[in-house]
Amino acid sequence: MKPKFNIKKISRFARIISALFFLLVIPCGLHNIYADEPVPSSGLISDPKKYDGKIIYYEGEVIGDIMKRGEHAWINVNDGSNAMGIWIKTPLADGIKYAGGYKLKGDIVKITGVFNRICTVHGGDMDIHATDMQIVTEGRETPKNAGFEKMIKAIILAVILLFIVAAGVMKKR
Amino acid sequence: MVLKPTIEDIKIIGYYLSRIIVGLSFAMIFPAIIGIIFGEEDAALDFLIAAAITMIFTSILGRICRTRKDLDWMHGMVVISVSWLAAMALNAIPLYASGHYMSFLDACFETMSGLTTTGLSLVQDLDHLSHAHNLWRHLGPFIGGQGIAIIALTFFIKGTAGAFRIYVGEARDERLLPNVIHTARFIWKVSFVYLTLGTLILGIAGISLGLSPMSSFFHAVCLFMAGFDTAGFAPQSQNILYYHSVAFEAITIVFMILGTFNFNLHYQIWIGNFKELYKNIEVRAFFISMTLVFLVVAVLLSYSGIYSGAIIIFRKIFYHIASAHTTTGYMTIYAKQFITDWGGLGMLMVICAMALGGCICSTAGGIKMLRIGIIFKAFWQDVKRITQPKDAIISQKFHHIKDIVLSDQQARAAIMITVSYIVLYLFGTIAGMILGYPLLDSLFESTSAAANVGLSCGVTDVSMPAALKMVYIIQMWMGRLEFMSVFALAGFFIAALKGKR
Repeated sequence: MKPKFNIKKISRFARIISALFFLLVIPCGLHNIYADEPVPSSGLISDPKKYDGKIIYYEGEVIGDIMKRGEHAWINVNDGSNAMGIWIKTPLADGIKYAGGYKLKGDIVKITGVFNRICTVHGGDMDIHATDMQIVTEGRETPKNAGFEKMIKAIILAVILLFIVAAGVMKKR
Repeated sequence: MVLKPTIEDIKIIGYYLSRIIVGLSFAMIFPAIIGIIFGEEDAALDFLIAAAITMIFTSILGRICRTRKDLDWMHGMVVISVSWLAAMALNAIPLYASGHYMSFLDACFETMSGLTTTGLSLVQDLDHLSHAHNLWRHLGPFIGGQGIAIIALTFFIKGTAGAFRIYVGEARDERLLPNVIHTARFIWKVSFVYLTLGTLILGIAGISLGLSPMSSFFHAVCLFMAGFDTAGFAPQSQNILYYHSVAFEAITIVFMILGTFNFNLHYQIWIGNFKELYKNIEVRAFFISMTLVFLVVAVLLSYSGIYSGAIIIFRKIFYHIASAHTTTGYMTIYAKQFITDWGGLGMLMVICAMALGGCICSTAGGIKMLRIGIIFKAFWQDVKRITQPKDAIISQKFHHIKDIVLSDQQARAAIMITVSYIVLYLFGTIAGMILGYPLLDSLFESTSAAANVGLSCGVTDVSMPAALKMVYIIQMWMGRLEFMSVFALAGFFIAALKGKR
């Protein structure tokens, strides 16, 4: 009785599949996805050719305004060294709760997207066209109340100033 | 024989210094109010403290040095040069108190950069700076661009002959109106009209780009002040790139060019003399020079394949050439991109644009277009002298508000200031190289500082040596005052040390 599975055929099939995988899938993948780790902005700016047109991960704090432009929006994400413009679909941007500013720590987001050294769609800007965004850490309010020490300094200086002005007025009289 | 300055000389200088500086303490009230409006009480306190310190300083100085004597030329020049240093130190107090500067030197660097309308910045974590402190960064150029002395002449100093000497000391040798006080008031009038219009236009544009109305108008007022006053500061760390908008870039180009024009030209337009716009030697020289530099860079970067397409060439090349030539310093690229993308020749062309600068009697820096025009005319006159018969009478005319026959004295003065600027550019370059930076990077940054531009290729950074920070502060100061006041101050110190009673 013939065996149900032809080992030779299976082995040949497996070899073809693995050859195709090495020939097509791995080079394509290596070409498009640069690394698993987020790329720092300093790396993108100092060596843009290396990442141009590739899918990268970029992580940082959303700062300033979320500028909605129809179906897409611009957000700016600062990784501590520089801020990078991210062109993102508006529904994804809607998930951002806090954008950083004075008294506000913005959401820390992980962006997956294509890095453009000179974006032809956006007038030559260096930017990232996001395909996905994950909120790593939600932002928060960072209250900054008027310091007691500063208040004391202001009061002392105001008293000195009043004294000088009063002395001037008395001298004139 | 050099005479040692007397106590009376020092009193005159001290008294007028106090009159000029007192205006700054009143200016500090604006960011304090903004701080309160935005609920930034801590930031508002910084400004109240700084205003109080400034008022105490000026009150004591004014009392000690009280005098009724008027200023002579030497006093006027020394008062101005010292005023800028005092203004730098006092304006730096609230910035340093913000906690966004590594040292007081960095805060001084920022204020000198703002007051001189340069725009190089050492602020850290700008994206989290309070509205009050951010407004103060941008008010600096608005005050310094029009001139610290212009505030004093408008509000605190009577219209004496000394007033004109203070006005000239701040590198403004043109009076728009017969009275210097009226001239000062006209400069403010023009500036406030443009400020209102500019804020409205940028504010509306900002809302259409997706900024909230409050944020949009705050950005608008800051950007207008820094754009019209050719400073190049912006409220966010990405500068103009933050907005990702061609409309915003086009609007800021208009303001940069308006800011680089001579206030005398604004006055001519104000009184309906529109012909001056195309007849004036400065305007012609500016547009010819900017076009030539733009074409060279456009061909270079298109040919090398860096930038292609009309929109990209406009947004990246024309924008930065206009920014450099108007000495504004707005950027839509990262500083390092000048090195990675523009390359040596591209950077050299930007350096040329920065070095040439804008128009005299404006908020722009650099050698200035009137001087370039005069030098070119003088050169052309000499060429004609060589080619014409010996007995031929050769005269060269140029148009600047009126038709003027070119004199040797004008040509000599233009060449003298041009040479002084070139020496100043080289001074910073050598300092940069000694401290370990490459030649081209040093030349780029030095020219940017001395011509009060603010474009950077990455040298200006909190980590740069303190010595280089000080060199750039001196360059910004000397470049803004166009040397004479600084030379007068140096002369004053030499006289104090070596003069005879």
